[in-house]
Amino acid sequence: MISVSKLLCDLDAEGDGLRYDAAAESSKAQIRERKQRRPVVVWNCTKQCNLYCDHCYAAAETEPAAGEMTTAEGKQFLDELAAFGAPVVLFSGGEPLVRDDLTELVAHASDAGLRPVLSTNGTLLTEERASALRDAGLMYAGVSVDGMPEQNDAFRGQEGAFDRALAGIQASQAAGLKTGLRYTITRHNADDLADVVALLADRGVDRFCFYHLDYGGRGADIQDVDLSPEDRRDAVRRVCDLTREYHDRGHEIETLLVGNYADAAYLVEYARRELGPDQAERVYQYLRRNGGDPTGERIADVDYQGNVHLTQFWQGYSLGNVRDRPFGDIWTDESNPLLGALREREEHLTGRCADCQYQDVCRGGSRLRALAVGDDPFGPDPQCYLTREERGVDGSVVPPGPAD
Amino acid sequence: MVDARSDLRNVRDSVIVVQFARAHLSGGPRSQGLKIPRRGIKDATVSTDMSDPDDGAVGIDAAVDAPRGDVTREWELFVREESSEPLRHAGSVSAPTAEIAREQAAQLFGWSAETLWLCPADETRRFTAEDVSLAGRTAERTDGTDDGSERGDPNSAECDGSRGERA
Repeated sequence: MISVSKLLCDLDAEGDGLRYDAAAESSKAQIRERKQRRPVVVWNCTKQCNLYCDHCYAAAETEPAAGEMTTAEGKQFLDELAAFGAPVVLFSGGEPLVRDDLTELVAHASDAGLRPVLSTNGTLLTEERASALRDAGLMYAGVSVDGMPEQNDAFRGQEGAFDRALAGIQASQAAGLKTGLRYTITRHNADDLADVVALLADRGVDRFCFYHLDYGGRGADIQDVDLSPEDRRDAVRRVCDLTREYHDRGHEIETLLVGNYADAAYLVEYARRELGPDQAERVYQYLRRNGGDPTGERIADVDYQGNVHLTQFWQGYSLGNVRDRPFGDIWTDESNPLLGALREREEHLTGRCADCQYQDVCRGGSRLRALAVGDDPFGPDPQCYLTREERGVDGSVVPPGPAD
Repeated sequence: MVDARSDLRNVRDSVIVVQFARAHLSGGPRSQGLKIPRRGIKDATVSTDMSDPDDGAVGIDAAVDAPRGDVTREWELFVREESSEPLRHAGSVSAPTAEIAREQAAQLFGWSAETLWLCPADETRRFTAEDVSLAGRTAERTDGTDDGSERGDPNSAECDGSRGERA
């Protein structure tokens, strides 16, 4: 995740300690030290969902799936995550609110020392449920809204899903939970971007998470509606512009770019152009500390059956299963050649990523997209939209970052 | 949705062994910036008896029998990087057929491995010492007491009936 609001507007947020080693300069409660080196763990605690979305990376179904972890198993798993030092557990799905023991699991995670957060489609989030989750220790609820009503409902396969998601956002806010809106961009909803930001500003939503499409689950089947490089660059520029405009007007929205670390390089270039070299240097140094794409390092996923994945989007390959051994033992077992190589991927990247001057803030972007499109986990990310000049190839004059 | 059942019948009771051509291994293909061509992989299917082992194993008799896949079949993956090294478990891939599993495994590990084995997860019997599996670790933590409401049971007929196919 790249915080546009932090990097361009200097907005203070709880995640800065994790993202930029910036805990010391923050007034917000921060995750520090040992936990900074452990992954944020997404737990798809169920595969069941009440919606059927076109882009669902978990390929969720409307009926329960076999092998879901029980309440007792979930608690043990959460204890083991806490013992390993994982800073955050993100309850996801499917739709996590279909689990009637979700509040109990959130309370257990909180008591164990994890920071529990929630990713939901919002349609089942009532004020009563949100209040119970808040009391259990939930720290954040992110609600998916993929465009204005027409586009969102078509995407999510259910008329009225937009209105119900907004009702869920309202319920979360009424319960006093920090609340965010998650939007995955495609050609179908790109034109809705400004309206979605206006909507969340109007509703007083705390956070805007802009996701690039990753090619996992059903997301792999809709690559044809993914943006062109030119449209992607334009969309990221609009996110940067909108964030600054809203902050100038007093809306302190936390804006995050997720899923494409070419954005890191673009942000440095944007800062250089719009804010000057000193600000570009500051942005670049934060992003170097952030370290680029987190696959297999700072993000992990455990599915409803206990399979451990390199990211939440990469469900087609599993490192192992927490029913066989604890998560920490699987995650630190670098006898797995792929896991080891991902953690030193600079030595393995090929194509345009191999000699890109922004490799240290991007690290090749999505390895899953590289695999899905080029059959090579170390090939170039097909979503990279940087120009040859920005990448600094063939003796181009732009130096690596603004530290010149 | 993929209905993999017809494909599954063709590969049931089999272990897939993939051997990489030696010519692509010396010097390390990745270090040379080479991508291993598919035709450099030859495979052989070896029939094997997948019936449950005898009860002779001492202390390693706790079964971990919750499924690892549902709609799409899961394949346990083993790799070896040098012939002098042991074959190591390297996770699993989801694929409806053995051939697709082989392709996926080769994409992920072909740059490194000289040998890949793929075993259907739903035909793989997993046994551990009593306190090693999640169920065992959970029992140790809860000491057999009921700690509240309970959702699901991975060892119930409902859960272990699918073995890689959707129930």
